[in-house]
Amino acid sequence: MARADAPSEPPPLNPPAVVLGVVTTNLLDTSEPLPLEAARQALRLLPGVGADWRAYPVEQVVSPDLFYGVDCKLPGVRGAHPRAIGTVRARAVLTAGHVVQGSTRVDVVLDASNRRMPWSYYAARVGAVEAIRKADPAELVSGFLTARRQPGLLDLGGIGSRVMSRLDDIPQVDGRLGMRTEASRLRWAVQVREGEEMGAEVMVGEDGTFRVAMTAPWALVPDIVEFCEILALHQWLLAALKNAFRRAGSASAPMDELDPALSYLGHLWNPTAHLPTATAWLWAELEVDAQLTWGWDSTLTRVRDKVALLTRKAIEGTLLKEFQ
Amino acid sequence: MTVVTSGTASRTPVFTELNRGTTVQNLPLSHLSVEVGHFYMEDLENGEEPILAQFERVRPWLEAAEKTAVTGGEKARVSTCFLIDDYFQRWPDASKIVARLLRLSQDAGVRIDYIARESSCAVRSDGVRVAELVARRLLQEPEPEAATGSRPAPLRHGWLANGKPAREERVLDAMQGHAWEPAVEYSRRNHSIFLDVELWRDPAELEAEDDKVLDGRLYSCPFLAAVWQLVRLGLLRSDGAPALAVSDRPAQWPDDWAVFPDIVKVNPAAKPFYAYRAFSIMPQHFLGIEHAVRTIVDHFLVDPGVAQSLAIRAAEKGVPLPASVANRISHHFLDGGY
Repeated sequence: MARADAPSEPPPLNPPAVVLGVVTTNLLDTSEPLPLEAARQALRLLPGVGADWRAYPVEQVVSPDLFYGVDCKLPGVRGAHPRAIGTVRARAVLTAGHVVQGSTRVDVVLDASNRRMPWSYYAARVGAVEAIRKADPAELVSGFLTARRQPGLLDLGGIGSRVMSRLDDIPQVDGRLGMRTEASRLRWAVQVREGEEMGAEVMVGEDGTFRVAMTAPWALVPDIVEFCEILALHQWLLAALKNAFRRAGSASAPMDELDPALSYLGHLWNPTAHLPTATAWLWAELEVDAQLTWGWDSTLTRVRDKVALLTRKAIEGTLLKEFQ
Repeated sequence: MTVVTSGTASRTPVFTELNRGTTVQNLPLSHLSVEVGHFYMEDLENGEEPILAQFERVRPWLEAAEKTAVTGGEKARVSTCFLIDDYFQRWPDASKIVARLLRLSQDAGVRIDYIARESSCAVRSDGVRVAELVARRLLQEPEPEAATGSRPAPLRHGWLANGKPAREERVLDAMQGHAWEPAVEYSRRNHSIFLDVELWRDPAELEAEDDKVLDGRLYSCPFLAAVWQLVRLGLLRSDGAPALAVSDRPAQWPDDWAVFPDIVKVNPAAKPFYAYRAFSIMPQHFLGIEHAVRTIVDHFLVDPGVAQSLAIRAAEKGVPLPASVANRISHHFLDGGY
């Protein structure tokens, strides 16, 4: 007689109370954007698993999730740093063949165990860490969003950068990007609350880093991840264009700054592309307050005006020489 | 600063596009896959008496396994399999070996539904590197209170440990002699059983992770056995399909192992090869290897899509399915030399 039951299992994990994430954004170090087919090959970061992709309205390829083991402290408040053990989820996102993002996420489970369990326990629950001993969800969120980098604390940004650097080794990436850019980081945190509407607070600190604090039911977390990746991409785009414009102001050859900025970035602004429906309201609210699209349009206009003025000056200079 | 909550219901989109890189196949599943014995190739080449004797000792445990399969109330589906060890040594006599195995197992009253060969757990007959599907999904266990993600775990090429090895240092100061730190098993309960498993060995002169290195890579027995267990559990996939597929029995067995099917169904009435749980019956001298297999399986990260596909099916059918892969695997070790 076959048994209907089975030997007892450890109780299932509590649902995550908090989800933390960091999105790191930069331009892929290559002279030309990767065509869609090459991008799909490049983002097969695991054998046997293909990358998800979209062609419209903007080409975008998303790698399979990679997992990294951690056992360290979570940033808390007032110096209390709960220990967390488990795995972090990370993926690479390549937009328009050129803007690369390392997007990391970890689901934090509270009140589950009070010691480190056998590793198979964590391996069976990928993408989650368990905080050992009491931790308060609201404090975890504010601690994570305001923490400075410290040794011993969970380093989601570092993991994201490592995922991005995996793309530098592939043959299609030639390492000849003709533009100076800086990576930017966006931090986000969700307090999971069932039966409530999505709530959000977007803050920009002195360092220019965007921080997104949200409350949402568990089912909406994947949409929030996508929203944060879109916000991070556009915040980075705007900063990169502004920086190029600023550098052009003091450069001896300003066209060397403006030219690559226009050709690499000029066509990329499209924040509502792939924006999950559940987060459309949030982007609309940001357009009322932070007005990122206005910021982009006006900066792009200034860049193009500057190029027109420089071109006119150059033509005048040539004419002057000819008639002397 | 913006503080807001979501407002009115949004419109329904008319356009959707998301091309999934991989779609996970749902597999037909037995409740239990039973591995009915194991031999080294040299045992299969030599006398028939020990082979028959092992099968005879396997039979009661196979019957016990069939009676105790966890089914969630369904009629039990149990399939049996046998893995031929053709990786470390082989002769071109596959047809003879297979015929002998099938005859002796039948004489002993042990049913063999499927025959697989170990070499395909390394590279399958169409050239796909099956072992690398596991190798690239192994995660080194993080060091307690020291792994923040900032630095990758040091690369220990071709080895996997369940903790930190002992350290011994000769100190120049004659007074101290030498310093010694014991090994630690990270998941220990009170005391440690430290295990460091050799997964593979690469040709010495090559460094880069290119095809040449992989061509010359010699996988260890526990590593291939871990691949085998994951294949039986339906957990190892290549582009959503099982990493090793089942073929029908050929009209005639080939002699060359290289063209022998990866997994072949020898009993037309067999229940599905892949199963929720795997049970292996083998001589006790494989205990060390299976300990290493368990360590490897414990550090293998199942693709979340694959895990979900099995969990959904199990829940629909009411079959209890352990979250941890190692808890789906069990053994019986036969006493004696063979």
